[in-house]
Amino acid sequence: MIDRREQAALLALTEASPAPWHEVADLVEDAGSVMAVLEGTAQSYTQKGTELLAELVRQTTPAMVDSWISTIEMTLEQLPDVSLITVLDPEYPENLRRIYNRPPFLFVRGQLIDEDNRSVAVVGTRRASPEGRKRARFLATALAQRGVTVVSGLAAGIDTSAHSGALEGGGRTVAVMGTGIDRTYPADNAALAERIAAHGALISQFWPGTPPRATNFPLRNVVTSGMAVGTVVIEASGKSGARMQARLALEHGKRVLLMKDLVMQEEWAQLYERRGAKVVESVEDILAVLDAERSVPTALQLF
Amino acid sequence: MTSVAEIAIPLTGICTTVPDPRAGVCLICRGCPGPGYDVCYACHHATSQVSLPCSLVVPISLYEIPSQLHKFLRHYKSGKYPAAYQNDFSVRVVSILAYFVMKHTECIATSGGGMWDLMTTVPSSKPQIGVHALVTAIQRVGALRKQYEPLLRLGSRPVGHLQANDRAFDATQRLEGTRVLLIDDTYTTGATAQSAASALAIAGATVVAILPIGRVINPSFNQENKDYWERQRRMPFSFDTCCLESVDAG
Repeated sequence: MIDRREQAALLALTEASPAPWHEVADLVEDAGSVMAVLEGTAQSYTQKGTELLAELVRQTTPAMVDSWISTIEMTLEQLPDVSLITVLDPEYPENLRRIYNRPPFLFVRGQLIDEDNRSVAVVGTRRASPEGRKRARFLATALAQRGVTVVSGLAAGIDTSAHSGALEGGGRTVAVMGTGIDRTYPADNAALAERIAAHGALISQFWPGTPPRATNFPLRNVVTSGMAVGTVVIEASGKSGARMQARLALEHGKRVLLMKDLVMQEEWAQLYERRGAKVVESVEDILAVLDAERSVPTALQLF
Repeated sequence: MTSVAEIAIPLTGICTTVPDPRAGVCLICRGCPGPGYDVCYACHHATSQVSLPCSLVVPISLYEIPSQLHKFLRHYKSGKYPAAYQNDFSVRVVSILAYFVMKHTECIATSGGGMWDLMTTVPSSKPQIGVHALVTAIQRVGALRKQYEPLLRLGSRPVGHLQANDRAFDATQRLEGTRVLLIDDTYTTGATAQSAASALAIAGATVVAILPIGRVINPSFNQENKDYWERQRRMPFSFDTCCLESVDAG
């Protein structure tokens, strides 16, 4: 059951926070309640956290929470198929909850279901070659047909092929947006976004109406990595955002899967292999990693 | 059965290289000393407050707060996350430990004057939580479980942030002739680990090394810490090397 006052209090806190928003998520998750943070009864075990708590208490008032309640309700009234979930809601995505820099709240259009936790992010360059697009589409279709949710960023190029391929496979796909939930970037993908909402979900960590600012995309990439068990990089040059996406996934302790052709072509991919990424050749390779990652062994051996 | 390597290697990216001995690196914990000092402030305190400190500390990784490694190291035992997450984090934490110990047994033993007979851990300062999560994690790996023995219990004196004490822990038995590797999950000031090391040594043990999984660094503490942290972040972490020698024979 979603508690609107808690949600409003969280938005008031993030608005007031001088620190990155994921540090606010840490504080409220620790306290178990946003109101506890606002009322000054929450504690942090670090000095930095204690200072941030004090600052948040100083900067927020009950009137701000009331104002956020009406803002949320007015906003959602205009977006009837959109919901707001926060890190304190049980609906918050399981994979995303595991990463340290998760956003404190998300707007969701469409449905997120438990099965979406068995997911792979398929990412790559916006300036994709016809071969790269074909490969992304084929892979996404094959994964979707095996019940894997395909996560991507709704951008041009590889992202578009990944979402389309998953839909063609009759499966589910989740688009992590670099804009507000009610915008589409690029605008050409508006029809694709509608189909994703019907067969998966669109999610955004930004307030509705937010335009595609350059600073949004690195934050969007964090969530794309976070939503999935692992990230497959299809085609990406050393300068592309997809390489950054692979680095984020490695820093999250998530699996990074590099297509064999990419590793043969790109020097950065060879470097990433030494940093824990795995080279894959087939859908079966990816499924094997996914299933191993989702099972928690009770016993381990050295070799 | 799953091997620790299968879990640890993909976690390479959440680890940060611990420097080998050189200027600007604490001789004991490999943290960041003040300018012109060989040993950091925390180690200076901790080692002077106990009778028999251990001068060999071999952290597996550095970390800052917040970070992914910090999230795993904190929430595998915090009780703030549901059991499914806690178990998963615990498997990751112990895989990093076991894989590192497997790769670096020889360098740790050589630097510590010989192989250890037993591994032990620092008891939890909150006795109400029962068995420490690190002990539970260690039990998951047969090869570690065989070497593990609880050798310490909480003592009569408190241990604080910069307050190490010989009587913070007591050995459960006499340990003459026993060589011990002391494992801990995190190392901040060393007050806890050095208190435990001293208690073991007072009971007659030889503490081969203190092996923390993560050594916390606060880059915003001062310019030295910031430079130190940025330098270490630029060095890609590898399980093939440890802070005892820059290129490890394996």
